[in-house]
Amino acid sequence: MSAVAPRLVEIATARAGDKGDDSLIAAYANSDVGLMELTHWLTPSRVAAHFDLSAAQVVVTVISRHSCVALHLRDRLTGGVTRSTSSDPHGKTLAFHLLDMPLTRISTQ
Amino acid sequence: MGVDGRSIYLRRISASESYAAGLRFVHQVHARAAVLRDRRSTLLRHSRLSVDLSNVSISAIGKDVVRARGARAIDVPQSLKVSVGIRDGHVGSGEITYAGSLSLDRAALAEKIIRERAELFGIPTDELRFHYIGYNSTRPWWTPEHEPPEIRLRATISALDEEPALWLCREIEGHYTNGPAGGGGVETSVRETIGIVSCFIPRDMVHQRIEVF
Repeated sequence: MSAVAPRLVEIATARAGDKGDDSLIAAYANSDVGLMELTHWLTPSRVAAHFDLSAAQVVVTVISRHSCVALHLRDRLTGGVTRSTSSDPHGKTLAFHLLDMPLTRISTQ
Repeated sequence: MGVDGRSIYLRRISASESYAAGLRFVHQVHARAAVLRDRRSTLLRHSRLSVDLSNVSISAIGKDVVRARGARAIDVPQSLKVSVGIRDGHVGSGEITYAGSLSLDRAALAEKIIRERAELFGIPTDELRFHYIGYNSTRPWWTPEHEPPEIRLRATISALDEEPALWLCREIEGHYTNGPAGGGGVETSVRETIGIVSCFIPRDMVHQRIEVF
């Protein structure tokens, strides 16, 4: 058994917002070095796998001015705020789901 | 938020609030940046003003004080966004808690029973959903590493008609005495839902009138 993998929460924090059925999550690196690391980990395919989406549903925008990586996840809010029957219709908790991402390579088999 | 073309956010906030507020504000800017990226601009459209946020910078200028500056006023939008509410039927929800040994299994059994009975009663099940609060209700595609010490099972159903919602509430209530052992703390609710569709209309079509009643 290997040691527990480090998680994104150790190099960044995040907050989530919503627009219609889309979730918008901004991840902030704790440092300038952290931003490079953050950009390395937050590729569309890794983010898609972590949120059970297809890569086509994920848009990643790096905003280096604010040490930020902005994620746009399409159709992740089960219908949007007024229609969703989830216990968290705004998807505010998804920010900390993102921070749970293990910083290990995903097996490609 | 005051917009004067230079400083758009400056207020005194508590120590605990400052970090979160700073982040939340930056987040707001960036979230919009993500939304509007197709226009290659970080444009904020307020009903009274369009603001370019692409050069906003945020700095801590003292204890518990954050300044955001660099926003630039552009123009007054000629169209206004309208959020159109559409009557979207009824949502029923019911919750029940299981604790201790095998609580996750007992919650799953409750789901199975309710699904079977829905078939029996001819209740459409495509909008019948179950959420395991304390386990993975906010991220159903995710499997936690450990079993939780207690589970709150939340069942929801939506339909144009009110009857499926009322049926679900009765089913959950019934699980006090006719379901897996040890279920408690039932709460149920039925609400009408309003769906929102957005569009734009020309500004000059809007006439303001206030009515007090």
